[in-house]
Amino acid sequence: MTVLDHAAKTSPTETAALLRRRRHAAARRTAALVTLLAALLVGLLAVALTVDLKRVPLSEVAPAALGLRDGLADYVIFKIRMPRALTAVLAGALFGLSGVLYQRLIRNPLATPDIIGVSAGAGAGALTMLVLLPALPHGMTLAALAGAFAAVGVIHTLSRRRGTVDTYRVVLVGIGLSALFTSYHTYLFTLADDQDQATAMRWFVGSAAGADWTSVTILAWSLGACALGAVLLERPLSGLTLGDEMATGLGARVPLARTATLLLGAAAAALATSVVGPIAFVALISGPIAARLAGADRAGWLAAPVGAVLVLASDVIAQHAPVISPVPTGACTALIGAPYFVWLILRRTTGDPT
Amino acid sequence: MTTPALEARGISTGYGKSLIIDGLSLEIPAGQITALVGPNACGKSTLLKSIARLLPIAAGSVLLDGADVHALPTREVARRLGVLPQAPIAPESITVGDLVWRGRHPHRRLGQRRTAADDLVIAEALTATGTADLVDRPVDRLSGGQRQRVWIALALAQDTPTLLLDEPTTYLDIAHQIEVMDLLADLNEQTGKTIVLVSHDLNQAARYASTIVALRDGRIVRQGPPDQVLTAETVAEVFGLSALVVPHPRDGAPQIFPLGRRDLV
Repeated sequence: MTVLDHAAKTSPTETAALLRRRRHAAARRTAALVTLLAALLVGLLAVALTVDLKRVPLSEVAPAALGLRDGLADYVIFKIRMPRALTAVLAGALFGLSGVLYQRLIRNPLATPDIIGVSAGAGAGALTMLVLLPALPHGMTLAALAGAFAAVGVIHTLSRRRGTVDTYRVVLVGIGLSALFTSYHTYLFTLADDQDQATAMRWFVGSAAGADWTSVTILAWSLGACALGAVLLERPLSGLTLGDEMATGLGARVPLARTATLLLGAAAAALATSVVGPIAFVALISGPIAARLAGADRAGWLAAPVGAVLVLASDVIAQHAPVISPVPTGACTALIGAPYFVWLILRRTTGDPT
Repeated sequence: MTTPALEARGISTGYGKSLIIDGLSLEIPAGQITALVGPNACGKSTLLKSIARLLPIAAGSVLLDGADVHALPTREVARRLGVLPQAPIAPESITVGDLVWRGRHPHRRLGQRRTAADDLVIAEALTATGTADLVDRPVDRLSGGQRQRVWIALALAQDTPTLLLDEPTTYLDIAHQIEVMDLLADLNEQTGKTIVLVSHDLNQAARYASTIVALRDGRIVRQGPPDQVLTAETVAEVFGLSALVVPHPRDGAPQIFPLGRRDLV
């Protein structure tokens, strides 16, 4: 069907061939980026295991990492460094995933769980458990989920307008809510005894320190479940990026897809938060970095590996960088994230069309 | 008349508690262009949205080829009925090709990748709308007219026998308006697509549509071919406007020349 005269230049078959080439090129690019990020993760893992090793010979590192050694090598590599590094990787992936889910759903780069109070809600839940009922098994994980879901519920209820969710209001309500949770955190600190206070403080800035294989197991299951959820929600979510009406027109069940995405993103952020604390800004920056690398339409799949690289790199720097180390992991991610956050706000308010 | 493509039976709908449309019935003829016209807030967009299941209806039913639109699985509806809302949102820096691909979503099974068959449908939609040269361009860098043609391309890629458009020419300059209307007319003529559009421009509606539905206060005042609906009496009744109605020198379609206070002294 040729309708406009000036459209007759290229035939549909030629255009289809061009589309196919673009599609294949994009797929190759995504595959290359995934490989690159995976290689980067392996490299960072090697650094995390070997840097500053004083009394374990390098030749012992690889076998010890697989749990094949005893004594000091086993303790340092298998019991401390390996779970810590894997925890950083998995938590980073969960943060990255949670951020990109919210950014696509709410259509606002600022609206990530760490900015709009969902992570703070998870923190409030987890911290309550940490201070009041530290003995309860999985108490922090469950309380973090409850806190995050409560935060999402409040944001969703307060941001509804005429049957849809006002995306601008989500950010404003969320930032307000975040402040509210922060004062609750402060209140909890005053209740805690000295030792709890130190633990709570370190956890609160966000750190992979103290992670063990239980943390790794929890996070691995969490990431698997959340990734599966993200695959199931991909189609309705890519419709929702065009607005509620267009999404409905394209056959998405909008209210269901929106609720499911909100809960999934909150769960991903909360599960990671319950283990490593609210590591700042990873959810915010992973998606945009992935979009820069792979193009806007394919960022969804890359945000998780980008988040993993960010947190593991930050954790290595936080532990081993000269002069400043050791600092909590969250202090390093904030160093990259905070300036980006400010830039994002400035760009939004000056009305730059890009 | 053949069986209607779409049929509203006693539908009531609105926002919140207030009903904008109360007990409206309407038949949309298959294979034709139908224009919904009327003053601001007359319910024409609301009607289009409730027909397209973008708005829930409080009462009545909407039938698409005899099946209830609001009861069918929404993806099933999406394979038969395309909608272009008034202000669709293009994600930041998405390319034209990637945006139009979204139109294939209702035809995609879970986790299914884009196939060569999809590429061809997308390419045909791009060619039909004259946007094939824009494939790699970011949508947010296009002109208003180009962007609107890209959105129509998305709706075409959806490959539905019926297409609903909410004010498809509103933000366009006059040349782009005509371009979009020509495109819709060609699509209707060449593929037999049923097209329903909300229009602000009575003169364009008169020339391009074969059925005009004139609404006021959520009611249909008159429905029929342009020369029967767009009379001075109906324009006065619907818009509260005095007008001179003159046949178009080319095809005789009724053309409206509004008469202001200064004409009437």
